[in-house]
Amino acid sequence: MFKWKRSLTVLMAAALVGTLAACGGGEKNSSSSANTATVKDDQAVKLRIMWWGSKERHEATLAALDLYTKNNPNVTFEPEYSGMDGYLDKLSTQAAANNAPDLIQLDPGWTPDWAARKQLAVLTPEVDLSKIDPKLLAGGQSGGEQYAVPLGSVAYGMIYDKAALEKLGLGAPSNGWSWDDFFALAKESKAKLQDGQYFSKDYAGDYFAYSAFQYSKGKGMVITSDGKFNVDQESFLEWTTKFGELRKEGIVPPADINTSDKEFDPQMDLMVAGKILFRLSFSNNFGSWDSLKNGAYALVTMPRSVEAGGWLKPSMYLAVSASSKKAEEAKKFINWFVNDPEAAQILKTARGLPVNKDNADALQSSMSDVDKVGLELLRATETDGQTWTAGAGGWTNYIDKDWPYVRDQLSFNKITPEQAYEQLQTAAKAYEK
Amino acid sequence: MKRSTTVTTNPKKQHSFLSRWNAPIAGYLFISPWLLGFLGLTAYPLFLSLYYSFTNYTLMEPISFVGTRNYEQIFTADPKFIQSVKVTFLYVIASVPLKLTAALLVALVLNKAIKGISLYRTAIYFPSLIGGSIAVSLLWRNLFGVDGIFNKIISVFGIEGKGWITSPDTAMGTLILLTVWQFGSSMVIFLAGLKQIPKDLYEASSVDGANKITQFFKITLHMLSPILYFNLIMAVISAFQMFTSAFVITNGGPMNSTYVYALYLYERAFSRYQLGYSSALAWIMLVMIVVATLIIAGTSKYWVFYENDTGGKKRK
Repeated sequence: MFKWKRSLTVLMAAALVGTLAACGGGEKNSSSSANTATVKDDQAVKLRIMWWGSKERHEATLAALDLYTKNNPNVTFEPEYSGMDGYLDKLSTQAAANNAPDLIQLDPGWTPDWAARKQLAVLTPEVDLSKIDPKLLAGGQSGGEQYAVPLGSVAYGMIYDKAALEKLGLGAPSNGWSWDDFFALAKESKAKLQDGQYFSKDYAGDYFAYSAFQYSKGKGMVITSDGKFNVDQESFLEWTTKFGELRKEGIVPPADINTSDKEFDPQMDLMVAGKILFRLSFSNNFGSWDSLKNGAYALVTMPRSVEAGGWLKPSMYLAVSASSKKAEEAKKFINWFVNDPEAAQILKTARGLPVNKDNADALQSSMSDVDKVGLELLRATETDGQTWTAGAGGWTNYIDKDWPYVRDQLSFNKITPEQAYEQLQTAAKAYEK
Repeated sequence: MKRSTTVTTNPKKQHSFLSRWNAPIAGYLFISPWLLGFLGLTAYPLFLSLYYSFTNYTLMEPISFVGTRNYEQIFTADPKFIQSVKVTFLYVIASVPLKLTAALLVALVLNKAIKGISLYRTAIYFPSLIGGSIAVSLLWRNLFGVDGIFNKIISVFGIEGKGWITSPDTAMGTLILLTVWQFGSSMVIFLAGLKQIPKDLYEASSVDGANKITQFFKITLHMLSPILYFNLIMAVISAFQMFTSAFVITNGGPMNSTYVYALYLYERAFSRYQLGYSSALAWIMLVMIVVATLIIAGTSKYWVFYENDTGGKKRK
């Protein structure tokens, strides 16, 4: 008969061993120092490049890569592109396996961490920085060296469903409006909103929206540039209490709908689905939303208070991974990508207004109407907008994991604004230096 | 050492030594592909991770030995550890029995001699082949989202749905349901076990007047207990390691209600690059799995029946 007992023992032992193997971290020789590139000019090189974005950005970037290959037949590309969702996870995992792409697009929020951890290669002198605004360059520097170059300049503001506002008989906001106007319009909308329709997302626990509010109150950054927790208690309680009221009155969506939002997703983006009227937006994202529903949307400055709420910031950075074996070619490409006028004509404002001043000027004369909407927000924010700084390194996880946890609890009404403040304060202790 | 000295002093013994070792060498040669794979891909990383768990390994900086500091921090000052352990235990305790029950019930149905039965078996096994994949996780998100198909179906009956995946009370439930749906591999093993049960047992018992339900508990379940035992342990091990669906469908949320242990381990390792710390977490998970397995093994003598044992429960 079958010897179940013995075969079971063997199988279980095998299963356990498999478990152990899955837990074990792989061996990597961390040769993080930049490899000396020994690639000759005409030798065939394949560069891996990774970025996130919407369809417009993918198409523009791919077209630019094609042009570069046409001009430099020895260089070809292996592009990896996706939406923002999961991008950092994927990139970090590859970097941990010492297998990061040669060229990587980074958010300004992560760049200081990556540079400080020496995961990036120094870009000078191969990349010409002379035409780029030093304020934008600062975010890509560490220890006096340039590790990443900014790709565009964008303004932070709001986007709204112009068509829906008109239909509901609500007045459209104008640049320079205040948070009082915002909340007043929200209350006014209550009687007019249709079933399943809401004014804006529930931004009570949203790190970025609250940052804008605290800025406008003149209370500075949520995390100071020297890495200290700086949530102003009074402003935070005012903000969360106001959104708490909107939630109770059904003016912002209930939690399960609020959490289901996925920016730019044709079905799951709450604004595109017609469920909300207002959401936060960067000036360069207008094209992406406009392409999902032509002509429906408009941009407006971030509401202000004693100070302006919005700010200009570099949209993102491009860097060369420290483990790249083709660093020389990758740096050459970055120089072209940022400074070449032909490249700028292809890329347009897919990553914001180009950082190279000449390219930006050349582009403005030939801009499409859609791009002009974004530029208008940029100009309106520029006048008295907050000054953007790179911020302290090491807080990415705080913003990505600890804030959303508090956000969820707030929107599910599980904690009071006071408790939310305490939780944020306690969680920050693990990150303060 | 001892052997080599005897070898040099006595040539005759050397001969016998070689002949004694010849056969095993050939044997080792035959299993060498597996052996090398085991040593290089399993044993080596395994012990390396044990070593890392006592260091502050971060990939970027030089490694330094920190003793048991990682473990101390995990057990004394890490609320996320405790929370993720709670979530994981909830998942294991809820998903394993449900999955095995589903697998057994389906196996019983498929054990019938119906025309085209192999086609049904294939069709029903199919979800398990694709179950762990990203695509299915995305599908799940669309099924149970606010505007998902599930809500559309129940709205026909006048029930108002909600965001099942985005509510903290039900998010874990949807993930458990996904696991239960992947009963296939357990089901196949149950099916093989059912085929092993001699028909005459049923015939004899029906002569004695036993009905179907009595037959199921007294014969089927009894004879199947070694298989159940095996499936139980396999399911528990894989449940502890649950990652993909929690990562893709809910990413640990909402309100950390699906923040399973492997997700926390992943966050420490690949978002914060604390590979030493996460190696320590991995070893704690291993110990938890071993303990769970030993507990199940310890109870097995009370309920697992082996046909080659003479006394069943009272064996030994």
